[in-house]
Amino acid sequence: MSETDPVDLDKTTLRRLEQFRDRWTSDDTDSGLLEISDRLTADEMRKFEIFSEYDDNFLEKISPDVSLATWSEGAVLFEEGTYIDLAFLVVEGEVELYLTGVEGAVASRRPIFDLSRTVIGDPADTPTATEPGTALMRRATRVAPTRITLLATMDFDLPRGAAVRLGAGEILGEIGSMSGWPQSVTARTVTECRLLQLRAPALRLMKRKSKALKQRLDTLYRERSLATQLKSTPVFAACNDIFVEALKEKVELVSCDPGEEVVRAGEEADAFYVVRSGFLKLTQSVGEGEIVVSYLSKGMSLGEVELLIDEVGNWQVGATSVEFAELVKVPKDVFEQLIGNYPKIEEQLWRSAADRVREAGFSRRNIAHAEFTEVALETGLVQGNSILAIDLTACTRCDDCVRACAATHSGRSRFVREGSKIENLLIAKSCYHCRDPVCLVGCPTGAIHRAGVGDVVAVDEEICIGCSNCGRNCPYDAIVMHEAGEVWPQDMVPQGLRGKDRLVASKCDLCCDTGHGPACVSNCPQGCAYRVGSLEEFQGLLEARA
Amino acid sequence: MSKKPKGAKGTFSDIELPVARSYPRQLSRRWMLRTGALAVALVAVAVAYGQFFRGGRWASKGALSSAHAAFGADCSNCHATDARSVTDGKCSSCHEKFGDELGVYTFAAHYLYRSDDFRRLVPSAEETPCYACHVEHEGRHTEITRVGDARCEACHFASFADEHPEFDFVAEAIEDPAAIDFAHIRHVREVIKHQRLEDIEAACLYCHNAQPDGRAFESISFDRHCDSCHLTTTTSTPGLPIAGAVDDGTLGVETLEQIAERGGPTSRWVYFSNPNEFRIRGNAVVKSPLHHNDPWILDNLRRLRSMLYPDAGLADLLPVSPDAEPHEVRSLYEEAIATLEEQVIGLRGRPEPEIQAELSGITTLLERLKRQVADPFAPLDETRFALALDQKTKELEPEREREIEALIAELTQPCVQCHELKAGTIARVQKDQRVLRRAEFDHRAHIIQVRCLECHREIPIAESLEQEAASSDVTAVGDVTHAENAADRSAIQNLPGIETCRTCHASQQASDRCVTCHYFHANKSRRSDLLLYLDETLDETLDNNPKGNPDEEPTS
Amino acid sequence: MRSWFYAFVSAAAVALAALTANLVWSELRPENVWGLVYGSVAAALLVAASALGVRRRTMKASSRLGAGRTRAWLDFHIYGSLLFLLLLLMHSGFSVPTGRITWWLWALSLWTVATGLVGRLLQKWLPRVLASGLATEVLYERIPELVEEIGSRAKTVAESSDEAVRALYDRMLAPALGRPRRRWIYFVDVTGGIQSRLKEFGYLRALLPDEEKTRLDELERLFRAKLEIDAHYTLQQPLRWWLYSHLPASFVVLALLVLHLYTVLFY
Repeated sequence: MSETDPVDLDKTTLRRLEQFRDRWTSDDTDSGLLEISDRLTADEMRKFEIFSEYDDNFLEKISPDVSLATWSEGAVLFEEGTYIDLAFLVVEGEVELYLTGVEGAVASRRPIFDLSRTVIGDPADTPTATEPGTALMRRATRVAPTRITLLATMDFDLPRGAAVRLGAGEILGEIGSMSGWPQSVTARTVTECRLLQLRAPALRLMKRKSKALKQRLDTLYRERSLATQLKSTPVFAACNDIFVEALKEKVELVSCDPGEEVVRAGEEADAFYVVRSGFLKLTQSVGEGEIVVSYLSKGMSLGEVELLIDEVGNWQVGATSVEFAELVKVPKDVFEQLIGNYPKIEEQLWRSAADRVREAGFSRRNIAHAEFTEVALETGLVQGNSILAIDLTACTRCDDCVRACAATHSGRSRFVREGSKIENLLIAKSCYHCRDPVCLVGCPTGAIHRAGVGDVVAVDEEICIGCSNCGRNCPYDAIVMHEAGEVWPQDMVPQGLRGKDRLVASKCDLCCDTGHGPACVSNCPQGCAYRVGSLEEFQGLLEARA
Repeated sequence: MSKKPKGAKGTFSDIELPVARSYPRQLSRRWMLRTGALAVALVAVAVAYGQFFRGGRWASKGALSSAHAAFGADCSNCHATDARSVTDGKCSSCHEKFGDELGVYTFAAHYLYRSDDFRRLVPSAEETPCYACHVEHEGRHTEITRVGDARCEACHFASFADEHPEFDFVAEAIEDPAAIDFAHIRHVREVIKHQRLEDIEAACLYCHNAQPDGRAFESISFDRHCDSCHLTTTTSTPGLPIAGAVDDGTLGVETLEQIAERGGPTSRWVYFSNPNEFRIRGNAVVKSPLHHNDPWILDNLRRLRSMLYPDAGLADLLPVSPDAEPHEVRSLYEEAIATLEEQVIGLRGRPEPEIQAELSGITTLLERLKRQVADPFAPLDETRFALALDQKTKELEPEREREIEALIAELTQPCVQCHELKAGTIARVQKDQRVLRRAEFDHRAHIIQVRCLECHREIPIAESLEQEAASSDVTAVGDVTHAENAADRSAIQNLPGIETCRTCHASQQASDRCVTCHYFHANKSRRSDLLLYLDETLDETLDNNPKGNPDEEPTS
Repeated sequence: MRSWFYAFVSAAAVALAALTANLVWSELRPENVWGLVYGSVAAALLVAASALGVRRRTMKASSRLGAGRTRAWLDFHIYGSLLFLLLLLMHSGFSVPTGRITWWLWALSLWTVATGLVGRLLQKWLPRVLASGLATEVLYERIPELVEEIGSRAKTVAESSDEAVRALYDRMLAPALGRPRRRWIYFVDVTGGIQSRLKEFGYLRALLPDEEKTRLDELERLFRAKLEIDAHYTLQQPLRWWLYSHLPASFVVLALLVLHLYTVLFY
């Protein structure tokens, strides 16, 4: 980074430089990053084809989030399982992408922390991974390999052990950066490279402005990820690559809005669905109304009951998307081809079908269970990787949890002990650490991000400009905007903020950078604060306290 | 279950109450620490008040016992600096000055008590001070005088039942020389018969008269107890040759006249003797009736003995036989001193120079003896009172010696019915030995519950009487036989040992606490000794502290 | 949690065994070796148990130092204090001490342990009562403002209603919604007679047209919520305030312990 003499520059430029430096500093001196450019001007940017269609103003606006970097040979750009919010455009050189031999994708609903840390029991012995960042930017940190949830949008379709090389003009990392999911591959420079680095806010704005880019990225997705994603589901995991390649052209990508009905019970079943992201609520009619018999999350499938069992031709359940959902729709004939070719998959699906039927029966007989599932879906409990649940039969309302949170975070508590009650559990207004966080969307600076271990969502307070997008977006009142005690200057910020008090967003970060577990849990004298990560755990808590 | 209605952001509960945006502070916690600090401050104020305005009494461990309560106002009445600074001097400053029966209040007294163990009198730093046993600050109604066995057990053994050793006189099997030939069974029988008593215990008490406080018994004295039956008017000496009857060398006894003629300080008894008791027949003299401690017999015996044993030491000062046991030595000295003082009184008025010379000799001896007795460290030499038995004179021919001995035997013929004659001396009857030296035994407390023979079991009086009654074998008084039964003697060995005590003094029965029998503080009779020791200047003490009554016998 | 109980039982058994040995071989006095051991262990337990307060006040530092979960500290505090009580009684020879300092120390220790046990009982009982039938959960400190909010909302609804509803509001709701109230009944029944109070709404409801019904339902819901808030107001108060009977006394106990040690060691 070139040094600029502070005396020669005016305040605005200084501030811009600071901003830029803030975003592009690397802590790790062994990273292999040879050089990173200063903030680029619009003209400099337009040299690159990707920026060619944008006007100067726009380029100025996104320039803090764009940098040109030179990397040495053999430098690791990012590792599997890390979170980055960068997309890389190769200008010169070659980058290799590969899997480092970690287990293949498994669809699961695992929480961020393991059971022992957040729910009942003793703190885990495994240390949290807070070693300084690997090759990369400040906020990407390494994760213990066994803890990766390799659900996520895969950037690359890589068989195990294989590698892919990308050359000039190719983009990598864009999906991970936009969706906030961990990277599925490791990227390493083969030669010395010059890379254009785009942070998520810039990319988002660009995508919004340019349809062409959006299409390009979607196509890329289809080319690169879909196959791997398909392979990451239990259904297609055993299929060979050719089949999956062929499959990939025949399937339909369905995007659902909140509450959109996917299938209606009683109609003819004509497709097999796999959930890519989001949640689907499965309902059946009981008496005059409908109960929720189950739900589907990432990687789970719908339709095996109807398509496998000959006597059942109509949908047994109705499926509705809870919030936004992305599905993969496999037509019936393709499905039949699939099970024809792979009897093993058919066996698996039969088992899954039996489970589904049993689950439905159970829910019909236990209305409370069904009601709980419905409530959980509607109130968003299914979203959470780590929800703060307080057992009210033991809580003495001493507020030690809140005070502990405040003590750990400079005197300001990041949650309130208020919220909705589920039987005797109080769901406090603390961040749920959603599987699909809505708060990440729309952050202009990328201050809110996935951090550290697992899928913790944290806010970097130094970067946050207090636009309150995240706060407004969060459906659970988990983000609080509080005053930072200063006033925005008359430049460098959007018009609407100039001269106003600076607000900063704060939210629970599971105390990820402190080295001990969540302070609220460990400081409760009654031991009645839990961070719950799945519906099973919730039910376990409810039953234990019943 | 309550549901959060969709779209109801910023609210909770089904009536959509607004969510708090910041966490409100608990009112109740605000004053918690402050109240605690206030309470501690109050304590500090109370302590400061107690320290500066109440003389530091806040640190008192507890209320003083009622007897000492008046001193509680000022800690320095007893304490010098800290709790352990209560010196024995502070205690004895009151308890010594206005003392009572318990006597001297020092730990040193503990060693001296009846053990004569003067070596242990030097106080050392490890000695237990008063407050270690007499614990104060335990409350108004505590009895400080009540000392638990745990205090004694700190140095001594633990329990009466198991660990208390057998009494010394039994354990050491102190030889009790049977200086008197006394058969209990016979005498009991006679007393019962002649006094027409109901039971044996009444016979016991006929001779063994209790002292006024009931603790012990009066000494047996011939005059009180034996005289009514023994040495009747018919008792007489055999005919004894008169000394110098035929010629100057004739061996014999001196008559009253001869003794009166000789005179001297040792013969004043002549003037109180009855000449009618003597009958002179030719060259022999017979005395009848005889008296106990008959001075004529004893005087002659002394004379004859001194022929055989010229160097008899101080023994000749004593009217009775000088065989002394070590623990009797003091009383012998006192007797000797008394005898000498009598002689001094007798001789004082006499102007004759020889008598004056003798008087000065007596006075010197007297002073020496007194000093010896007064000096607690000087061991009293009992050998001075013993006969130099191995120093028979070498100047007599054996035949002469035999003659003398035969004469002695005749002279003391009536005496040896009961007494023992050894080397020309009638052996001193050991009576009223202090058997329990370190403990007190109160007969009265026991006699109420127990009959004499239940504890004094060694002499089988009851059994023998039954047997005799069965076999109707009666022996008249006067026909003295030696005691058939070795156990039937009045000897120390016949006193009960510790096992007899343990039949009742056991853990759940009669008291087995140390202080029941042992007193820690020395009694009055030893008090003066201790004062002497404790006092720096011995001479001053000698002048100031007269000895106790010499007639007072040590109680047992 | 079970393991703490077992540890406590074993420790108490050890103490009682020591007491038995003590009575057999010696006597039970505070000054002898046995008594001093009991006293020292009791003092150590007291100080260690008091550390719970420090743990709760220094959350950041404690967490950073890896001090462990506060729940474990509380368990140690409870069982340690019970053990302390046993050892205190053994140390004082199971009798009331006579000195001024020692008497206060003993009496206040008993008081502290007793209030602690009472507080623990409250902590076990009151949350269960609160959880036994309320739909709302509110923060104690916010109750006045929430009640005010409810009151103003009810007023708004009532003002836009018909005469009948307004009459009901004026007669019953306006006084009831005025301020939070504490009632003893909530300790026994957390719903506190809500049913009977809501009967009137039922009677009236049958007589009203539909739009009035919705307003009446709204008022009923507000009223019900307010009654529940009253229950919280009543039941959370002891949970907040009982510590005042326990903590200041414990401070004094610690101060007296220091004084006691001073007098014992230096006097």
